[in-house]
Amino acid sequence: MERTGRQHFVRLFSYTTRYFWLLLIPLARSLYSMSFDVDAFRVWIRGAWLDLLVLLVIICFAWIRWMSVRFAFDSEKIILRRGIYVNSEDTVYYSQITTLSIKQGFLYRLLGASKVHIATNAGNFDRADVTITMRRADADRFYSAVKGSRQKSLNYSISPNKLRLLLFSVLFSSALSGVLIIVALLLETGEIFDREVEAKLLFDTLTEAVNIASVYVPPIISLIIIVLVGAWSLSFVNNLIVYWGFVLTKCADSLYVKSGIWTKNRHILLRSRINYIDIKQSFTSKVFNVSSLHVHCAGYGSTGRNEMTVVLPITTRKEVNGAVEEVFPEYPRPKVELKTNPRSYGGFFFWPIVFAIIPVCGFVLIYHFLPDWYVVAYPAVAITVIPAVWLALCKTLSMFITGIGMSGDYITMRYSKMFTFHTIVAPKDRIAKVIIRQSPFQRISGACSAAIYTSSDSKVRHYIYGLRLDRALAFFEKNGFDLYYTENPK
Amino acid sequence: MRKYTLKPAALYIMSGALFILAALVTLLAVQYLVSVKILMYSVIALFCVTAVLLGLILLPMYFRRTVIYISPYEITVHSGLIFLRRDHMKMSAVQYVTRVSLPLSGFSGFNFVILRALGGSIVLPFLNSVDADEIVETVHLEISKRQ
Repeated sequence: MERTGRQHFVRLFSYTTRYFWLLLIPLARSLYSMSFDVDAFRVWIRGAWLDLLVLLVIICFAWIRWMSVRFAFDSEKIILRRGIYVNSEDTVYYSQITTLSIKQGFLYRLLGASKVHIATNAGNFDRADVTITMRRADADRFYSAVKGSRQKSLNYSISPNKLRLLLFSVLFSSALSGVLIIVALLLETGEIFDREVEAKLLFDTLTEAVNIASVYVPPIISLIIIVLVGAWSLSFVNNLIVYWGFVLTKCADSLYVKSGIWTKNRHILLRSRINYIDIKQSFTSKVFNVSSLHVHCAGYGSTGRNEMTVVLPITTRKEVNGAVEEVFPEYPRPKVELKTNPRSYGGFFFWPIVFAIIPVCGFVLIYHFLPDWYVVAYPAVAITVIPAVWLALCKTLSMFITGIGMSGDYITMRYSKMFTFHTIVAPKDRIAKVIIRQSPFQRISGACSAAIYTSSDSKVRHYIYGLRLDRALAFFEKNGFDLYYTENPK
Repeated sequence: MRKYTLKPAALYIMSGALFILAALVTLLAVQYLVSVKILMYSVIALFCVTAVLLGLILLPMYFRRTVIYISPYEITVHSGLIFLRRDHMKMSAVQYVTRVSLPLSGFSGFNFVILRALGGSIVLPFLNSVDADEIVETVHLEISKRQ
């Protein structure tokens, strides 16, 4: 039976311009500054009529836009109609949906709304093809309709142990990801609030915290500790909010993912459309042999801030391997044949050295030319050099694990990208392009780097640094990627 | 397997254009910057060095090094100046082809073929018109075989 409807009313607010509510502030202030009698109200109307008119027009346009979007779905497809004068109609069959994501943030839960993202493999960009805000009941019906169209045999279900999740979140939440969350939050709120005011607020709070802490430890040390602890705490809380109640269920043709504590997220992924699986680890999680399992397919992990492509949050490597065997039985165990060339080891430290040198050079310049800023520059250098040292550590480990392997119809790639270690397993037919690149230094040492692009609606590149050129060419030729031609000994 | 190289006419046109541009800038600098000699010499030197470097060294090197190999199964491009690179794409990965031709491209060699796959693309630059047609035809044939 077909179900039709309009989007949830909350969508109306996102159709108004982002800054429209700023108009309300001067209006409310001027109204408040007058005594609330009829004459004062008349004076207020006379002064504020243009602002009120603009406000009304904005709301009217938003309402027209909201009214113009309608949806209808049945047991095999969803139809989205947009427009009043010029009409457009999108029809998406459930069999073509690669990823269906239904998300309920905290506010949306209170208002009974759900955001629905539908992604197929036809998208031009790395985002959902259709995004609509439905009433919760409609979203639930739609979820059931899509679920009903998929094969029903239940094969496997896994939910991470909550105590272990809590423990691993404590141990492996990183200050860096906390900093990234803070930056994302600042950028997002900075679009609404004045960025200078925001920076001042942050600076004042930090100064106050440093002043309190400096009773016990020197101010520089307390600043570093506060920044690191604050960022780490945010990352920890974020991990818990996102991964608490995480359940992965595998059926014959689909994966079902549910997660969230205050926010509720549900995803349905079509297994045949998964481009690759990615076992991710940080430096510390690698040392303690824990990891998280991610998948890459269109629309998954690209529908909002803090969105992840995870299908199994941080847990023991043994559990991840078990999940891979159960959920992706056709994928072989990662095995690396082509490893890094010892002559290329130096190159792994290029970026850590660059990242360390830049702040030190800046500090030397400030020390000589702006000696008054020494007090600020010193902790700033200390904070910026720490990631460079950490990156050097990651790269040291990376030298010994980087490599490529191919078995049967699958390719395995192991490499590190900044602070994260990746183990990728992808079907060979998902390789879009292979590039072998040589820098002038690599030409001297006979080394090269391989960039492997996998199928995706955006560019996804796996960069494997420091291979031996002759071995890399022979390896790729053996596996059906002939990059020799002129140099081919045959 | 078929080997393609870039059309030298494109190199001569670009090198010629660079030298003409450098000469024009020199004339303008001599005309209008004569009062600030140091600036005049700097501008002239900058443009002349760039023209010589690009027109006589870098571009000829790039044209000499770029070689395209196309077989019914794969496309490989060897290219690069400072960083040497070999791009490889399986014919089975190609989704569609874009051909870009500038005016007088039959004479100038400003024909480009872009092979697009899901997640990557390869640009085959400065091709002879006949070669560009042949490449497009080969790829279209292979794509149609898949149907």
